[in-house]
Order: sequence, then structure tokens, then C-alpha cells
Amino acid sequence: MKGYKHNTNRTPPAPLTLFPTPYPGEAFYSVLCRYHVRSGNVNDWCTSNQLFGYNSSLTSTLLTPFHLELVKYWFPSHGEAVVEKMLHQNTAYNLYAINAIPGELERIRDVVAGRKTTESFPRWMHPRTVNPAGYLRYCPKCAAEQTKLYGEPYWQVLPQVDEVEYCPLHKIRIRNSPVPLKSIGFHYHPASSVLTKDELRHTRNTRTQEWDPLFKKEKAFFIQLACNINWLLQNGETYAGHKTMTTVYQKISWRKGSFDWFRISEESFQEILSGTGNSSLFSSYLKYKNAGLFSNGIYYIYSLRLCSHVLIMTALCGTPKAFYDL
Amino acid sequence: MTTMIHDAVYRDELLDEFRYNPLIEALPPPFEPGDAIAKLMIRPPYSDAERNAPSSYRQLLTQRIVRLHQPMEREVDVFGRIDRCIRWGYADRNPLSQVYAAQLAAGYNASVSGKGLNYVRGYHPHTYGFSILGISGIGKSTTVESILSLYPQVIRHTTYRGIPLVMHQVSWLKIDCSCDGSLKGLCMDFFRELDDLLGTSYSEQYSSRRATLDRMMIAMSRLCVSHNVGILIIDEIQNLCSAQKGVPERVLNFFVTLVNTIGVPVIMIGTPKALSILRNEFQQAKRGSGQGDALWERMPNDISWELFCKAIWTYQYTKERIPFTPGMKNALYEEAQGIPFLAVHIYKLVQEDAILSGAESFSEKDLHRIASEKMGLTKPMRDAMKAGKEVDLKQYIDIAPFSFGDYKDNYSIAAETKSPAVSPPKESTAQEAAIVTLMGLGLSHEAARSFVCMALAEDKSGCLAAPVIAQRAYQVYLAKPADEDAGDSSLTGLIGYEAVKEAGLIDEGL
Repeated sequence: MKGYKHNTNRTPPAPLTLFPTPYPGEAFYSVLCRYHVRSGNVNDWCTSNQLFGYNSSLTSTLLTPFHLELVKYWFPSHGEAVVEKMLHQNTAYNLYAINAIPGELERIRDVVAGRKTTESFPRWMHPRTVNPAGYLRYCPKCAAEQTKLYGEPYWQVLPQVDEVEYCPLHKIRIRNSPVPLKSIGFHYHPASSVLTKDELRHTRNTRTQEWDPLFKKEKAFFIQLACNINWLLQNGETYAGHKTMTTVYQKISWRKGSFDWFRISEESFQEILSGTGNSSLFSSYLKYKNAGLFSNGIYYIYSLRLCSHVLIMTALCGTPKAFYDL
Repeated sequence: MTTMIHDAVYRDELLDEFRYNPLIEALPPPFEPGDAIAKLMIRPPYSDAERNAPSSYRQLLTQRIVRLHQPMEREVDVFGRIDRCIRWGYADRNPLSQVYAAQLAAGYNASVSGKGLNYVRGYHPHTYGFSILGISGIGKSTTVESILSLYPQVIRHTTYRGIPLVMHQVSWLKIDCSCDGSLKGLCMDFFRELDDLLGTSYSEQYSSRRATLDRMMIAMSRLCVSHNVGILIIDEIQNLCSAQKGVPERVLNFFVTLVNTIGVPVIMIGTPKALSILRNEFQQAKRGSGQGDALWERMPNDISWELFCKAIWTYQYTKERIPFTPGMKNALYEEAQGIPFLAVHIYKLVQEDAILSGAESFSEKDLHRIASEKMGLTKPMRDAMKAGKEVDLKQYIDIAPFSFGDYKDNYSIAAETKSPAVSPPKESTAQEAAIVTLMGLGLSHEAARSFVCMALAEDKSGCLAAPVIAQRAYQVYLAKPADEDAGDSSLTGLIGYEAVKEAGLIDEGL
């Protein structure tokens, strides 16, 4: 949200004549896309204008609760209960919560409830911080099941999250759709129009080829990682706050007696990840994921990407719950 | 938004096909025939004291005659058909079903790709519309509008059985076929109507030059699904005759697509002129008669005409009360040729003339004079109808009667004989409705008819509304000794009011 200036003088949008009921685990962006499908509007601009009152960027609606505060204007009868539910089920708020510093979650909830402007959103809360793949992603089996169950597929929150390489339910690789993230800025790409039968039948490897050997070799680990991220998407708020995570890191540091968890060297990282069996590969992978944050062979724990923490949790303790229970 | 929006109140449905369908459960319960008549009847207020009001006021009061609506048998019939169309149309379009979402997605994809709307796999709506064709002024549109007004046009859904369900339901939407019969005009009228109802801006969005007709047609289909349009009524369908070559076929094909792929029943209303278009399209004829067709002829000069005339006769604002006589009835019929619209206006104009001239009275001659002087534009048509010359009537195709040949051509029915079947003598509308009401109470048709005749025989005014007739007839039934056979009366075998009259039980003086 860097550079975004909330215009408080902007007229709130009018109530909508229809709005799709969000599906379980559906990304807020996907709900908006389905609204676009239902609205019958002639183009994307008309829908954005209807929803936001101006041609707003949609990128932030993929994972963050940006624009969720407008729900109360769209259907006044539902009020905060729906917003609260959507915050937890249709955004990555719970996952973000583990990274928040004290007070940030309250600010987020205030924004969503319309008590504060979007300027109060933490700046790190941006989809780019979690999805470097650069495409809308999906599990083909989930999409097929959604079509069968609901009549249409939708974009789920989980596959959009960084480091989710496998579907925790079907144990198959997550695919990139043909829709690059940069194109969702001002456009609606409903899954029903993208994930056609041909697209679902296509078996191309959609992830960065460079890391394929790691994903294949460590399939079980990455399935576990996806399960953990999925678990945090539902329960992350319980372990809210970076302080909690740091406390656990400190505990581990004291137990091992050799690490400074505030600043950690590449070698120390490899030592921690030695339990995974491919510590050097994992270390390179983390380095790749946190490109630009690695300086002079040192990682600053606060700067790590969100899902890198989950990867470390998985490597160290198997599950986030076990990690926090340490 | 100009229309009143009703918040959905869900009822438990009896039929399995309708249960757990919020669009049907939010509709009012089905009307019984007796209720339907009572609800369709419009009786403006009237007081004899108003006849003493200043002439300027009385001239204003004559307008009330135009507002009067006397429901007839065929209206009750159309009511039933429309109700069935709406409910069964929704039965295939449950917003909680997968098909609903699949339809929306298919509509969007069709819109993006610019290709036509495809069938959703496994979706076969069993929806049919019907056509109402009848001569101008016979009350087709008024009837349909009166029926539709009994349904909340826009229903707002917010939560259904604890599930958030944010949508609006447009239970009916009526548009007129544009004067030039163009499909673009029709689509734009549809968008404008939706905008008026829902406060949307579709007409603005689709008015740009880039909006092609194909896109508009797809959009119209999509919006029918999105906004849950229960039934689409296209009035003045005969305007298609003015369209360019090929357009009528395209329009009718589009309606068939709406019915087949979206499942929205389409009702077409028009004059006999529309037969020339409809007869060429068997597909349309099939879809247009799924609920049976409704071909409305002029009213015959029989008891139903008499009842209708008596109903309007109540509304008299001249200082002198002019009695209703057979002569008046016949004069009115002669000038109006069985068209209620013309009759009402002739009767209104003759009163206005009597008030304005200070005569405060009128006669049969005045009815003829006024019809001739003040309704000159329709005179050639009325003269043609009076003369019954088929050649002349063909010039005025809007008022031409339906022939057996028309029917045969339209619906490809192999006729065994060229002579039209002799229709049984009709009973008056109110009387028939009263009979239906009594049958609903468990009486046989013969018994119901007999009691209604008795009730009518007891009535001196001769212009009772159906619910009142039904009530009185039921009282007669209750008062009747149990051993007496209801069907065994001197009236048996005779028809309704006519029978009662023949039996000398009716006081002709009003």
C-alpha cells in the first residue's frame, strides 16, 4: 500500500443489488471477480467504479483485507459479522497475523470495520511479499471439484501463498494459471473464465523450473509445509505477533546455545535445516525466496518473508503448533 | 430507484420442486380463483351524491369509468398461466444450485468471447411461455398488468435460512416491442427497465457505439439470470411486422434462446397482426403455446356484455339517472363492437357531453352521435366490424378476427373439418368465477352452477361481483334442505344468467 493515499472525501459506494456468497477459502479477489460475472457490467472499469467509486487496484484484494471495509456499504444489512467472517476466511489475515507486531492487528481490524482509513494498514501487508511466482495459482483437482460442487471454480487463498507448492488435500502440484499477477491490477479474471476444461487438462509444470528437483525430492516436506500454511490460515491469529515467534526463536537459540536469532549466518541456517536432509538446497531456496534481504552472509530474522518462518518452523518442529508449544 | 423493493419473507412450500428455492419461497402463495377475481377487480369509489356536484367536478369524475376493471373468465385463466410460468420457471433456476453459477459463468464467457450463449451441460429447463393475441382495446395489456401487480416486482434477498444470499429478484419485467420492431431497441428498453427497478446503469453502459447487438443480447440473457427475472413480457409484439426483413425471425429466435438456455418464460402480447410472424416459426409457436395460447376475440353481445355494461353503468354522473335498457346495451355494442376500451370511452364521452351541454341526460341516439363525432378515427374500423366484411377487416389487421385457418397455420394442427367447432354458450365471467369458487368448496359443477343461478335470480341489481355471487350462492346451498337435489331444478340445462332470465326471475329494470 506504499504511496496509497486514502481519500476520505470520496463518496461511499452505493448498496449493491447482488453479491456472491463467498465460498470456503475463496480469495476476496475471487469474490469480486464473481461479482463482476454476476453484475453484467460491460467492462472492468464499470465494476470497479460500482464497487469502489473509482478504478482501484485489485492486487491487494488477493490476500490482504484491503477494501473489505466496503462490504458494509455493499450490503448494509449484514454489517460487521460478515466482514469479520470474510477477514478470517477469505483473506490471508490469519497468516499475516503471526508476523504482526503488537497493535497492528487491532489497526487492521479497525480499518476493516471502517473505524480507521486504509493508511493504518501495515506496509508489509502486500501480496508481493508472499507470492513471488507472479501468477494466479490453483490446484486442478480442487478446481474440478469446485465446478462439480458449486457449478464454477474459484481462486483459493492458499495456492496464492508463497511456498505452497503442493495441494495439502490432493497432494498434487499447484499450477500457475495463465494470468500474471500484474494483470490483476485493474482487471477481473474470474476463475470460471480462466480455468477452462482445456486449462485443467494441461499438464505443464507451472513452477520455476530451477527448484523442481527440490520439490520432487522433498515432496513430503513441501506437502507438510502446505499443510502448515493452511493450518496457519485458519489459526494464525491465535499465535499473533512477531514477539511470540521471536520468543520461540530465542528459546531454541538458548537450547542450542550457539545462535543469535536476531542475526543469523548462512552456515547457522544450514545447521538448523540439517534435519531436512538437503540443508544446502533448502538454504539456497531460502536465499532465493529472500533475495535482497541477505546481506554479508547474515539474515535478519525480522526481514525474512512470512512463509520462510513457516518453512523454518516445519524444518525445526514439524508443525507450527509444535513450534509455538516449545 | 423508483420501484418499491420488498424484503424477502420465505414461506414453506408444499411442492417438492419448489421447496428450498428462495426465489419461489419469497413469492406470495398461489391465489385461489375466487381470490384472484377479487384481487383483479378494480371498482373506483362511487356515490350518488356526487351527481349533485358542480359540473366541472363531475366532468373530472367521469374519468373514474376508465379505471374500472371487471375481471372476466379469460383473465382468471391468464392469471393461472402467468402464475404457473413464474413458479415453474424459477423451479429450474435455484440460486443455490450449481446450474445457476454455471449459467452465470457461461454467460460471462459468451460475453467475453463474443460467441453465442451455449447451453449449460445437463440443464434442460422445462419452461414455456405463452402468447396472448387479441384485438386492440380488448384489455390484454391491462389484464396482464393487473395480474402482475399482485406480485412484488422486486424482492430483496439478504439471508436465506442463515446463509448470506445477497441478490434482488425481479419477479416480472414487462417491455414494449419498439415501434420499429428493432432488437436493439428491445434490448435498450430492457436495460432501461432494469435500471428503473434496481438503480443500475446498464442502459448507459450499453448505449456506447461499441456495444454490438450480439453483446447486448448476451447481456440481456445474463441479466435475466443475475437479477432472477421470473417472467419476461413483451407487449406490442405486432410491431415486429414493421421491422426489416429477417429481424422478426431473429427476435423470435432470441426469445426461444432465452427460454431454452436461460429458462426464463417469455409471454408475448400482440394483436392478430402478430400472427403473420408467429405462424412462420413453429419453434416459437411451440414455445409460445407451452401454457396454451390465449386468443382473445371481441366480446359477443350476450350476457357477458350485459354484465360488463351494467358494471360501467353504475358510474353515472349526469343529474338525471339514465336507466340501463337493452336498447342502450345494443347501442353501446353497435358502436363499440364488443371492445371494452371503446365502450368505456363512448360511455364516458357521452356523459361528458351531457354535462357540458347542460342536458344532463343522454339517449341511445347520443351514444351513436358521440361515437360518430368524437371517435371518428376508429369509425372506419368499427364500420368494417359492423359490416363484418372480411376484405375490409384485413385492412385493419389489429382488429381482424382470428380464423380457424390462422389457428391451423400457427400450430400445425391437422384439421379434420374446415368449419370451426361450435363453441358452447358462455356463461358470464363473474358467474363462471363464482362457480369455480363453489367447486373449490366441494360442490359439483352442476350443483355449483345451479346455486349460482339461484343466487343471481334473487339479486335485483344484476351486477354483482363474483365473490358476492359465490357467497350468496353458498348461502343458498346451506339453506337448501339436504334431501333436495341441487341439480334438479327448472333451470337445469339452461345456461347461467340467461336461464334465470328466461325463467322470469330477473327484473330487467335497473
